Amino acid sequence: MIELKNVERSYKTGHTETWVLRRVDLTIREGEFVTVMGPSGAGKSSLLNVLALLDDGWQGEYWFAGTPVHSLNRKQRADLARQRIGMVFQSYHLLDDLTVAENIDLPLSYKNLPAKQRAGMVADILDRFQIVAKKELFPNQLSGGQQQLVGIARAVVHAPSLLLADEPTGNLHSTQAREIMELFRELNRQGTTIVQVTHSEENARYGTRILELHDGWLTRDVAVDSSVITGAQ
Amino acid sequence: MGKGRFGEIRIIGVIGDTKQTSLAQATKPEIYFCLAQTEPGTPVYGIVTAFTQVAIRAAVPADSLRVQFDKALHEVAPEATTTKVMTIGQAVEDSYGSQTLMARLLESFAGLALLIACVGLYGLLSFTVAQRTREIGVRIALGAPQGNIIHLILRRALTLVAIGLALGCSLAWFATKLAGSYIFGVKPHDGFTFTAVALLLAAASVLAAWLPARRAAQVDPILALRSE
Repeated sequence: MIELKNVERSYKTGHTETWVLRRVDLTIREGEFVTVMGPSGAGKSSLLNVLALLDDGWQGEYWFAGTPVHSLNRKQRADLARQRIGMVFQSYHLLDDLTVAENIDLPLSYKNLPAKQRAGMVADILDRFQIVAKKELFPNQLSGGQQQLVGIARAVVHAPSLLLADEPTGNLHSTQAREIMELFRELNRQGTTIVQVTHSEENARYGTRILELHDGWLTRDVAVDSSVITGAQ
Repeated sequence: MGKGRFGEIRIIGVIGDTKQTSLAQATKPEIYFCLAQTEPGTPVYGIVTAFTQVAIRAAVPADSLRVQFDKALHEVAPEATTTKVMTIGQAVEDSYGSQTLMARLLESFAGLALLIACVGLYGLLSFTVAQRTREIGVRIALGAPQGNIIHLILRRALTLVAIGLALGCSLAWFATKLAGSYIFGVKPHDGFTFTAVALLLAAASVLAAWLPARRAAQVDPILALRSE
């Protein structure tokens, strides 16, 4: 589903150039649940931003379901992301002045779908995530776990084939974190490819594969049962 | 026709209203006499000859005409003098000179008010965009096209402009009654003028709002979400 070939990313600060991703070669197959780990500043979020098509400043080749992303312009990349990718954030990033239902509807509102169809999709996801009773509430009326549940519902309401999560349980206590990870596992079983960034070994065990980054280099790529999938660089 | 203190006068016609000393002042009653038919010694003759304004239509330049006129006047009335000699163009200009100055001043203040309003709107929207950077970043990350973000910011601007125009036009509608004495050649509640001014204000406001809206559409979602 995803193939990165020699992907690099750097930021220029004055006369110095700081590399955050170095010659990353990576293949993620459809249906995988991949965890990206590594210390702070290793390049985890940068990799996620590249995969999410939010970042345009990288070099190399990025193939998404056979589409050469590296050949697309900004608008085409945004269209592809809108159709195929869902994002979950550590800080939830729900819009405070919108209700739960309106927040979930947000990505659908950018897809030119009829209002009736959108309302049906929102109702389905509210039902599936068992948050129908909270649909008229605003984010500040929800607990952290409930807000993240809404964040995930918003990310998957348009049935993306790839779900990206940046520290999805970083702001939650352990019980809520386990519930969120169980939900991810269930979404993965239903066919959604998931890539999550986390520091938690426990969360990583919910996935099928762990990638480790150090100073921008992909240093480890193992299956969750610890058998090595590919050699480290 | 009538016979009174001025003797026997025959009215030969009634002319329409004309502006007299000032464009801003209402037309007052006025009688025109034919000087050639006014006989010396009559009460009317004394009035019309005390201060006589002479208008001459001529093909020669004004300067040479004055020389010729003074010469002719001296021949028929050696004791007569001429004062305030001017061309019709100067006379007309003098008659509304203060109004022109007032209009220019009002135009300048109106332009200044429009500029201040536009700068204020620009500042307000820039502040709004800065305040909503995270929201804009989230929307872009969730797939909002640039046009949608521009529309989001412009919609707020247009709402403010619509409220401002509605209030401004309502106040202007009543204020024109007060300014009625300064208006000449235009009806106080002229629909075209009101529409044109409203459109000009709206266009200037949209221009002032466009820059912050463009800036909002170019927010980097990665930076916006990281700043949280």
